[in-house]
Amino acid sequence: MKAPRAYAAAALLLSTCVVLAPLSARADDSDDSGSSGALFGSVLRRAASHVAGGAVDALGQKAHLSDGQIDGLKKTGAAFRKSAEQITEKEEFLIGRAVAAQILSRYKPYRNEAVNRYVQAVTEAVAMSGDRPDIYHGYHAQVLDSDELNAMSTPGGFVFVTTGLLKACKSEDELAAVIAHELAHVARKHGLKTIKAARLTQAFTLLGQQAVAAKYSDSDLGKLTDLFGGSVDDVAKAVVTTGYGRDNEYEADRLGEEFLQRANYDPAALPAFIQESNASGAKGGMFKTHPPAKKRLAELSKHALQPSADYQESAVRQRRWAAVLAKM
Amino acid sequence: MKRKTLLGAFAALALATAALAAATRMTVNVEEAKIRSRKEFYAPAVASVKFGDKVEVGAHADGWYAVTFDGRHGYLHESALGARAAKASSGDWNGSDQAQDDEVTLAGKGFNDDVERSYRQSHGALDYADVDAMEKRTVAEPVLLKFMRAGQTLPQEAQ
Repeated sequence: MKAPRAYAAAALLLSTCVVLAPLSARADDSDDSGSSGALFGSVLRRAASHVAGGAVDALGQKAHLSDGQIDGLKKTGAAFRKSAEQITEKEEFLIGRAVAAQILSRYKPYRNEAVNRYVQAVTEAVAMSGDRPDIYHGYHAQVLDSDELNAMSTPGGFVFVTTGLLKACKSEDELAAVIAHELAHVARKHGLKTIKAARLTQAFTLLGQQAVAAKYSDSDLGKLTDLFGGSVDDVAKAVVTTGYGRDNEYEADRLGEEFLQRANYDPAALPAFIQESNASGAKGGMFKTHPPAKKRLAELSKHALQPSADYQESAVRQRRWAAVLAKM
Repeated sequence: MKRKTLLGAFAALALATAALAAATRMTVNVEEAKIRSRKEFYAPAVASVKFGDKVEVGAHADGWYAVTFDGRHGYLHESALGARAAKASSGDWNGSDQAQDDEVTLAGKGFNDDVERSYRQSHGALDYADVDAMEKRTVAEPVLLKFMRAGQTLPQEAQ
């Protein structure tokens, strides 16, 4: 495109945005990622839809765009999603459900509802003080019937702890510490970030091309299902086998301690659990997906947190913890 | 040069106006959330909002927005809010019909229920029944607060 025509096209697009600003004010819109690209993408979508309705440009001229041009504008807006950060809450929830289904196909769920409800209560209590207390469908915890020492979380707020891990914890505070670490992974979307960039690009491009269709064609649904399945496999592999990587684990430790402090549990319970579980000589499970205990402890010691002003040692917490262990 | 200046002014005005508009109204992006009387989760709820509801947004501090919804004022945590295209939970949508149609069309796109259904069909061995059971497990708010109070993890001002 020659330069003057490019300027003219840009001017039309921008002026359309200006025309649409009042509309935007009524019908909302920023993007939850907060990126200017996403925001501009949203404005572009509005521009496309409004132009389709026969908007006038800033010079008072009726905008005469072909169907192809209108479609192109809509595609551009939809295709602005580029990264895992821009996966919607609902999409994250569906990916998390599928990863949870994979975990529950590998591990047997522990059927003791009293124990499950207790872990659920601790999870919700910590989540309330986390960085992402509201999540699409809420947080849900499940105990897994396994002697392995392990805890996992998936995008969308599904949290798992094994019976082996529960038995290794010395207190409710230590359980809360493990859960806080997992909730930090969810808050920072570490799971979603393991999805291969090329796969996401492919999915977003396909979705951009389908922005104006009412329903997926069979062919596109097949392609999207493959991309969804690939994304789920990427996350499941990280959760169960490879881990999120050293830096993300250190971040989850740091953030987990903060969540603990805010939730009025003892932040020192996290290093205490890491120390004790390492000393137990257990193998596999969380030991294969996390950095060595010595390194985690060294990282945590760089910014050890004190308990909050509201923190209290509690005989009730210890009693109910003992009662839960007695039920297992 | 004049043309460039004009384009720059257009761009700045468009982005500034859009950003200003975004600051006044936001969309609930979780299935359900509660507007609280104070910036704390244990504070009494003044209203419930659902996915797609629009709230008027005011000041933002400590992760909470001052919001107004349905004539009621309170605080909503930022994690409940986003403004990505969302299907309205009722007919109360103030945008133009064209804009609404476009938003609704985009809202159902992406990895949606159809994609999950198709994935489940092709992965018959996966155990979604236990995931569904897991999702039903929640602790009612009064029970959770009682649990926290008993365990002395509820802040003292909330006791």
